[in-house]
Amino acid sequence: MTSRRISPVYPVLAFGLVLTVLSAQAQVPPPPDAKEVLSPAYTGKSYSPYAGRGFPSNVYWGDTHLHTSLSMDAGAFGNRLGLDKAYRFARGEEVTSSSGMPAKLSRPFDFLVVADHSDNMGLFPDLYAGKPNILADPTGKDWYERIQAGDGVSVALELIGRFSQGDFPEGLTYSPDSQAYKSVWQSTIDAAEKFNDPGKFTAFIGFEWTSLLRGGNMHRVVMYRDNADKASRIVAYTTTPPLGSPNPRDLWKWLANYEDKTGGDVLAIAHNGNLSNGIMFPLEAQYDGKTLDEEYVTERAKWEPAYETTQIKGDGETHPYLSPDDEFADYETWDLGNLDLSELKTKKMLAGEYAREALKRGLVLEAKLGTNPYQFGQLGSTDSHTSLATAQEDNFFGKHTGYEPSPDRMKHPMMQSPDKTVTMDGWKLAASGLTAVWATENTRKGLFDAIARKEIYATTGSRLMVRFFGGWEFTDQDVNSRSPAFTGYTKGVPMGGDLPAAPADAGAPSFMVYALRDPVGANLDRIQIVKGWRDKSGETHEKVYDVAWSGDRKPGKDGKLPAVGNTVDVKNANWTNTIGASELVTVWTDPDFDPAQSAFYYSRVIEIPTPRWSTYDAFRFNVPIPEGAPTSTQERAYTSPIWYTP
Amino acid sequence: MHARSLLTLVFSLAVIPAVAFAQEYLPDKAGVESVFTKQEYSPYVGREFPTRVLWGDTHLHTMVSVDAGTMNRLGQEEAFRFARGEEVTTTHGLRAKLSRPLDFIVVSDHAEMYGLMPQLLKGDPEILATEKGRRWYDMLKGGDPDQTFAAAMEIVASLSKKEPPIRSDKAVRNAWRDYTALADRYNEPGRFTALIGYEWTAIGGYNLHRNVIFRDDASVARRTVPFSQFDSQNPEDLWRALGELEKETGAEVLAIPHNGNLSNGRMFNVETFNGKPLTREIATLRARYEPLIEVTQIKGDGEAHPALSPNDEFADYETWDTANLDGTELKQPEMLKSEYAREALKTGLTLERNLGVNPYKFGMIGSTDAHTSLTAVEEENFFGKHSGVEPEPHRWEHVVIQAPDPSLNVYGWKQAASGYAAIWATENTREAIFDAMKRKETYATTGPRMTVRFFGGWEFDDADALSRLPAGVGYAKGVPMGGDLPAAPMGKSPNFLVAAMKDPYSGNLDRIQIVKGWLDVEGNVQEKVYDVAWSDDRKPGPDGKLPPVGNTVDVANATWTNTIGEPELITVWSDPGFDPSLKAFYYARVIEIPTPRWTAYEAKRFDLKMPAEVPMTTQERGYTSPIWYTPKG
Repeated sequence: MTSRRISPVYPVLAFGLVLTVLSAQAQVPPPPDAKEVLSPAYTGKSYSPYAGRGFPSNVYWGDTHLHTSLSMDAGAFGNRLGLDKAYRFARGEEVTSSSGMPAKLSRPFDFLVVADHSDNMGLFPDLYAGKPNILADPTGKDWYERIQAGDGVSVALELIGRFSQGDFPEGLTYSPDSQAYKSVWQSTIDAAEKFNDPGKFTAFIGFEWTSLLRGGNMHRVVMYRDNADKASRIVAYTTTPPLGSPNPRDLWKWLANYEDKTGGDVLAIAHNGNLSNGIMFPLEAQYDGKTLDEEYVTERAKWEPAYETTQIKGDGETHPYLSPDDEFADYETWDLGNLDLSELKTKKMLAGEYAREALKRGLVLEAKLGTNPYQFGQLGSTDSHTSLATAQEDNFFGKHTGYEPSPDRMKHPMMQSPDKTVTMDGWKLAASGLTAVWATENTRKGLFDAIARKEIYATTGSRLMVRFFGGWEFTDQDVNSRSPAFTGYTKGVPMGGDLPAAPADAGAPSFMVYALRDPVGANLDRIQIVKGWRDKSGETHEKVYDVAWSGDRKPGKDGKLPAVGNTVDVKNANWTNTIGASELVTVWTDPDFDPAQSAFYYSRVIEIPTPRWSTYDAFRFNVPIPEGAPTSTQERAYTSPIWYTP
Repeated sequence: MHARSLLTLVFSLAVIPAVAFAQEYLPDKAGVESVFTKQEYSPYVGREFPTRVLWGDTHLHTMVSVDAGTMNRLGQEEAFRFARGEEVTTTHGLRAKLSRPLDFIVVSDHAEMYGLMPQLLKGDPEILATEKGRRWYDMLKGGDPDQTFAAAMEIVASLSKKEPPIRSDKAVRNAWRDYTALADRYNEPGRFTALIGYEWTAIGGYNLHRNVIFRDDASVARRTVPFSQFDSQNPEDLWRALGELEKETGAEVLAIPHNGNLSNGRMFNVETFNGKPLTREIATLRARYEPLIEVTQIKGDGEAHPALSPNDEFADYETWDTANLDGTELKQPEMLKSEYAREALKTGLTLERNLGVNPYKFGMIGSTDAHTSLTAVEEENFFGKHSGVEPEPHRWEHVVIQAPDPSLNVYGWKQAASGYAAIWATENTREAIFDAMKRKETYATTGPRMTVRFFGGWEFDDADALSRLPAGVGYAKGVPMGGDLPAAPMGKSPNFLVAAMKDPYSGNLDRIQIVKGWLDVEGNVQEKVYDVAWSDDRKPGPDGKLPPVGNTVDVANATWTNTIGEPELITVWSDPGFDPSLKAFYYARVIEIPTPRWTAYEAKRFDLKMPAEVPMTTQERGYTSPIWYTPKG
């Protein structure tokens, strides 16, 4: 994390300051005709509205969470596409999927984080290829021969089963200190270096630390700001003791150690918490019973500036149980249990799983421990295991290779509880999400720094552009500008920021929010601002405000805006942009502001209904839409919040 | 080894037909079907057709151009850097940047005395050894502003003379070599294309200029030097020279005529350069080397003129029709028909009937012709025609073109912040862009980057307009912009799939129109403009005209809202007046809702009051290349 890079600079800086003060008299005096001499150096705002913009003027699109065949589960489930294919696909090239289907993005991505599982990374491709170190182990030899004999499925199941039961053959474990592991780690770095093309396509070095605690998903993607020289010096961190650990506190220690040893910069992004069964965002104690303390909250805040709010395994912004007044809360909800359905969900768990509630808990923890551990920005990613980062409804290649496009993928069970009473079918997969980054340039440095300062937002797959600024002086006049960012940055802070202290005469904070539809996507239904706050008694609350919308709709008696309508032609998997607006902009002032209460605000932008991926599948394969599957979806974006602290 | 394999190959080829039945493998139906009829899942795979439109400028001058060099201090390198999206500092010290990078650029400095100005200003001894060189150097460097201006005027005037005032073949060769090497350096296949080109600047006052563009890299382009008006003022000689060049070097080149609006009747006439009846040979040459024309640029828009198209309420757009380029000859009404694109397309049908070849079968692009090294024609980011009219509070009232008769002067506010070239190329490379230009799969816009698809065929139906991916059906059932309709099936009218999507940064769309021109039974040319798709539930009035879309422009604040218009429009339109025996062409014109013209931004930024004659709003537009219909036989 960049913030800590400053510390080594302090002594120099302090020294410089001291010198300056002492020797001020020795400096060159200003010329007598200073105005004339200096004016050419200070010409003021340029005529060109696009010149001299130090702030980010482009939003960059990408995926921070993609698996290739190097991930053991992906490999076992049939993914045969390695790092090269993953990068080629992300930068817009056509590749052939593992199931033999040509695949291509509608538009290239700007960046990609290949985040293969660090535990046993690279094992499966080596097993599949019959590498000598694999064949030297009797189980390895047996598995290889069975795969060769066409019995790969049973091997895959056996391998995954033994790993999750902690019964993996020692001779096959790709321990981080093994030569095999080191060379795999180096190969992921080499591939990132090969495809990193500053200014055009950024390939981050990264991995996924895959902590699974009693089936509760606690994964983190670790991404590097660094190049190979630093990243190569220490292999990725795993969850398997003794070299690894499933405890996030140990991950943070490892990150600190990496930075200390290499002078590098890394951060961690927590996986969507919806399958953690309540342990992703603890309020009192973490999963092992250890009470949250100052160390926990400061370390988490330091290392985890961004959170994966939406992905293929469901959307994690909020849950209808937690936000009963929010008619958009039930979106691609996965709430049956934990990651392997070994434990079913109870309502009590939900508060520890969803982003909005976590943001509220953060306010409570900040009051209690002095630091908000959940002051995170929001991003979306696929977590696809196919090497294909697809989140667009009309071009969805599924969660893993078994769910690549086929007439029956929607009806295949995805997950089943051990007692077989609870099953989740393929159609439940969400074609989501994407990360949008407001960066000054498309480079590792530019994008990483933007993620670190949380100037990011999540979308469920569409590339809609969203600007969100908070301040004390926005007026209605500001929305007339066609370049809202100028006013935004001048008068306020962008998404991910903290509202500055209120000026003496300030009333309530105001927010300027602007959204432009995806040029090849759907029009916009509305922009909402979601507020969460902590009241005097320490209770948290939330409220969703409709702040800008299309057409001439009027909120009803209950204050709710009527639905925008629906043009989806389910039979033909099509829609028209004859409802909705291509862009929405407004300045909104919090009508319920209380300067004594800490609060956060983020915006949610909602598209008009478009066909869900399952509707495209039904149309293309001429199969019925499974019972329960929604025929249309309202894609959306979630910005990082802006916080107010009294 | 090699010889032997070759022999084997030849041998096998000879044998195949004879033994075809002896092969052991015969394809079965299922096998063939599995290869050829498989429907892929991803809608984006296997699209061999162009899927992304590329934006650029085919006409840009730097200080290397003799005229620009008198005022502009930015070189070719700055031109490339600005075009690819970097910030540069203008000659006047302002910071300038595009809202978005362009995909390609042709830095097309004047061929005449190519590279002279930078070398003159550097005090190159060979240049100073000439009489004019010494004189101009002294005048420009003497520090007397009047002398500087006088020198600039002399230099520009010398461009139109038959003989160059300074002949330095070496200087030209060196400058051309430097430029082509620089273009190669900035050319990044897949990311940014720097096509090599120059402007042949014949008959200054009549603007018969052409931008010559190479498909090739420096290794080929530097085997020649720019063909200049000192070589010949006759465009027919230019085409012949290009033909020779292609033959001698293997180069591939094309030429794009400058907007004809200042040619005073000479750009699209029906005679040869020397006033003889046009021949089939010359028409063929022109058709071969000039697949495109520049229909809109800073010096006005050249699509249509209100006098030629009195029924077209959008025809009077950024019209410059008082005189020729240097204001030495007043415009006469009869000149117009040989100046504007639509009329030229019609003339082409007549010439084709007479000669068997249509010399005016061109596609359309827009470009800037800026002389500032800055391809900056966004209304909110307009850096002017030349460095004398870069942004400052008085440029709107400055003279852009000084005529001998002051009443013919052209003032700053008349400049149009226009245009760009949109190219449907399969990839962003010199080769792909050049090839798309040759097949005319291009369109012009007056600045915004709206996406326009236009296909013609016989089989389109209304359902095709529902597609979110119109190109798939467009290419499958028809031909794209720039193409020829295949032969007419009995009893059918042609129909057109046209789709437009707004520039995300610019105004919504008002309407799509299809402009049809044809040769009637009597042999007279005709035209008609059809409104085919529009926003906001409007109904055509009794006169058949669609009411205006409205206007949200707040002139005082130089802003507008996209609360009217549509972000996208699509339709299938069938020609209601089709006669299979008559030659015709069809092109689409896409019109945006009103937005602030650059003058409104100027007035707001500099707090100016401009007289009522200065337009403050504009309806930006796109013009596609036509699709032609030619009856059989």
